Amino acid sequence: MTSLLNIQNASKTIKSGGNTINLLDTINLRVKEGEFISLMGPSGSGKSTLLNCIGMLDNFTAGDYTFLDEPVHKMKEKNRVKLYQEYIGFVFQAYHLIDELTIEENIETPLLYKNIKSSERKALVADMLDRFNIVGKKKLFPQQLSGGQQQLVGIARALISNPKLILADEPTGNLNSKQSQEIMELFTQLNTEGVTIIQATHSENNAGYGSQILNLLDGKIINSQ
Amino acid sequence: MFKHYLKISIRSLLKDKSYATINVFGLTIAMVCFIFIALYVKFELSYDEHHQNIDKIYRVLNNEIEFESEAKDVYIASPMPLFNRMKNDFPEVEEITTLATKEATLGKSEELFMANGLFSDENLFDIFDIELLKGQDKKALKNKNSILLTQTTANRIFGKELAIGKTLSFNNKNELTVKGIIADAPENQHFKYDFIVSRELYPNFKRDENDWFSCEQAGYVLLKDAQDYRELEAKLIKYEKVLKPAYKNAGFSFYPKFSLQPVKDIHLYSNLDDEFEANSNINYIYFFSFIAIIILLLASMNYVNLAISRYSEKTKEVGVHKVLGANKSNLIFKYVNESLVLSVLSFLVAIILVILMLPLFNQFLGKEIVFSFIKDGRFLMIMLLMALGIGVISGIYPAIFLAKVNLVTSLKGNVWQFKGKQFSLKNVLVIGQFIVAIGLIISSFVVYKQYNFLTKKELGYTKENVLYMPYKQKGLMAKEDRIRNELLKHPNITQVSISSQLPINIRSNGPVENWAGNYQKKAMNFYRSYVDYDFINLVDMKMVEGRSFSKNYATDFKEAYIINEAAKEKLGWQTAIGKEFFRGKIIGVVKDFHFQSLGSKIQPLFMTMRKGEDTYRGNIIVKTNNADFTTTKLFVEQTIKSILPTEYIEVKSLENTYNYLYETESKLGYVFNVFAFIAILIASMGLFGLVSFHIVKRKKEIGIRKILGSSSINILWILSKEFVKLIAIALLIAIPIAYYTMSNWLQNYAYRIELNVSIFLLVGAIVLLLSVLTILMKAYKVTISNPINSLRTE
Repeated sequence: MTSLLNIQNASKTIKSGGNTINLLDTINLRVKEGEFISLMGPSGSGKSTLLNCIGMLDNFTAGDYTFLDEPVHKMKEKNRVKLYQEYIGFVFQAYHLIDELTIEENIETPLLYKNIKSSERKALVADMLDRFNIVGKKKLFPQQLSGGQQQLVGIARALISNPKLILADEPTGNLNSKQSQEIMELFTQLNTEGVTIIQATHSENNAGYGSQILNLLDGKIINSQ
Repeated sequence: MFKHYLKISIRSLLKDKSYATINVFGLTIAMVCFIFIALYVKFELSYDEHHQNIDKIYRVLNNEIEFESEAKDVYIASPMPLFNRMKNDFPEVEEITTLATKEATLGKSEELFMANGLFSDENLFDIFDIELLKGQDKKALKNKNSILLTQTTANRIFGKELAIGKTLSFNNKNELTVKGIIADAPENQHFKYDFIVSRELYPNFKRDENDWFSCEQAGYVLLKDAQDYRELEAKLIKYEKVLKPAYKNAGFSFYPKFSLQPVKDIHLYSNLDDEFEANSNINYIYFFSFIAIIILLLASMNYVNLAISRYSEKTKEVGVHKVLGANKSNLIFKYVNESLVLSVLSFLVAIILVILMLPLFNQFLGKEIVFSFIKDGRFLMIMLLMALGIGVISGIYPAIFLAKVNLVTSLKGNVWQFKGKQFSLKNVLVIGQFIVAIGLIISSFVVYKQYNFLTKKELGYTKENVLYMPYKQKGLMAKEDRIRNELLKHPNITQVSISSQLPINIRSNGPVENWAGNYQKKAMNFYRSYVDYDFINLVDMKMVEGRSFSKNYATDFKEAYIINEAAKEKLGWQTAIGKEFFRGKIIGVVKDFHFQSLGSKIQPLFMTMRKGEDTYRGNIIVKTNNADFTTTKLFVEQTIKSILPTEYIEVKSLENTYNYLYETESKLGYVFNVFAFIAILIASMGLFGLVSFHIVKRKKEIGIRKILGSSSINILWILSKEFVKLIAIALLIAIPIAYYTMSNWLQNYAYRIELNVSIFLLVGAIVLLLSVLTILMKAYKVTISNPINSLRTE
């Protein structure tokens, strides 16, 4: 399998009230296409920060980061946006759906920013609604759905631009155990279809769905299973 | 993409109704004001613009200059022979016509109608664009037995019958045939009419036609292309050279000097004694445009402030859009789009309101401004562009600000954590808005008080129960005693005066070089009024020193002068009585009276007895002891008619004329107050919005404080403190600015109120009270709520 991303000696520090705080400390991580990685660790261990940095929403302050052989740490913001528009999809604990848009429109939004033609957009969204079996709900607004359904829409939206990598930050944090199980099974299925997944989670159970578990503590990867 | 944004914008507006209402309401009111003012300004600027030749039409002005003193009186009427000569003498003159207006009775069998007539000749139609609806125009006016009626007049007289070819009686004398129907005189034309007839029907036309000493008609010249009117004006000195000695020999105290005035300037720049109608003033245009811009500015500032207040809610949304791949320009476009939707929505509502309220506005201003979607298409487009402009301008700043927000923190929605810099920026905006609001409140207070002061100010004479009749006739002096005696026979008439000027409007002025102590022969400008023995008493003027003119002193007629207090002060005299002045001596000082607009300073003035040569123009003034003028008026008319059969007679009430003369001024003062009130309303709404959003944002903090055991009073104080601080800073900045501007503005008025501390204290108190009330109202709800609820929202 080819390497999707490669992180070498990467750190992230911030200054707060005169002190320097290490959020991430010399991280070395290589992710191959098709992997399903679970990040575990207590609150404040750096899971979310690592996900954000991998997803290019945030930057490492030191070290090298290559994504599909492109040196992300040397890129300008504009090119980074292009890169993640193309290859990365996000799933959040709080879903982060846009309240003013219907389910259908929410799923469509990433395509708008990629300047895809209207007819093509409609076709892609229709496919996605079919695949997740939510055609009947397409005209509803997010508040009208249950948490599990909202997260389903969140995943559908992340998948619409056909990404290679899905980054999920506590995707089941707001869900009950049955809904969690469904979402995790969906992730496993997506993974078998070839999508690389990195998720941050508190739950041992959920972490078990991954092919690899990385434990973080105080910004360091302490072991991997 | 645009459709997508539009959808989001509209839905998010619907979601946040109070925000949308404050914004739409504020913007709508501001736009209504702006559109009304723009319509008014457009109307005022459009005067006479519908004449194709407008840039080449000039009015001949007659500057009557006194031999003795070079004092100047400007009139629009000139001697008729001048016009024939001008056309022959100067090749640059393409065409020339004369205009005069007078009321006349038109009759069909028994019925009589009063109508305002325009007297002119056939050239009228070559110079001005007067729309002919039916029949003939130019050809008809060559014949003095023809009459052209406006559509309205024709309908009034003939109803649905065909008017053309019918005859009607004119002033009960001539039988005229209706030869044409013309469009009603446009409202934005400086001369109006109900009918047009040949100038030969004008009273005494035959007498005046070749008389260089009689001025009844105003001359209008159409110049050939590319002719400079100033060059022609300079050449008019030719006539002055001949007329100066001629007038001297004929016993006149003045001679005429002619000048030219562009017709397009008449409505806004000309204010002569015998204008066809009371004109407006360009300063009003500037003043109102300024107000319109301030109101729009306030509404836009409201928008910016409210939009920024919503950052905390918006930042999460920004984060999501960024994660989904939106770049900065996408986001700026999105938020500008939102403000565009608001401003266009406000614009549509504003247009509807304008259409509904236009009759009211017209009634208010006494104008007849029309607004039609077809004719005013360009105006509408400009207004729409303005609305879009406001949308972009007020949307762009919050949009840029939002687009810059850091992605990771924005997703957590905690951009509004207290971090010095971001906060102070908003504070600047809030303070800015308060400054404008406070400044406006102070200004409108001052303007209101000043106008109030002016309207209540003593004029220094009585205008009630006074009738007058203007005359223009040489040799009336000979019949003076007879007129006086006949008029006094009526039981309602207590006093009669025949004097040159009315106290309400004295414009005749010129230099005086001779007075006691003026060894260097300096010249000083004096207004002048030529009166008789009864004038001062009749209009109830007070003497502060010396006495009034009296028959008991034989020398009064020839050499007595009365000056006003302003003159005495300017001359620097302790006492004036007996001092040498002009061609005689001072016998008294009259208490200052306002012989011009109340706003302007009372200028030095002298009064002297009217002598034979000054009697060419003047007024027969009558004091009555009865407020019911009708019978007295009729009596005066009949009496004068029997004594002066050739004079055109029109008896008017002094008070009405006064009101007519100064009505625009008082109306505009009133309108200003309305607009200022609206400006304050918008500013207060902005304040309300700001406070509300500020408190909503601090819900969590309030919840925590309550859990920690803070009392409601304590929380109210904490919430108010911050705003009170901002308002205090705004007051400190606004008051000096307002003080400076308003004292400058008051300098325009010779008689003005004092700017004292009380106005500023009052305004400060009002603003503070208003804000604290808003804060309390909003904060109270939050403080009594269960803290658990407010914490759960996180």
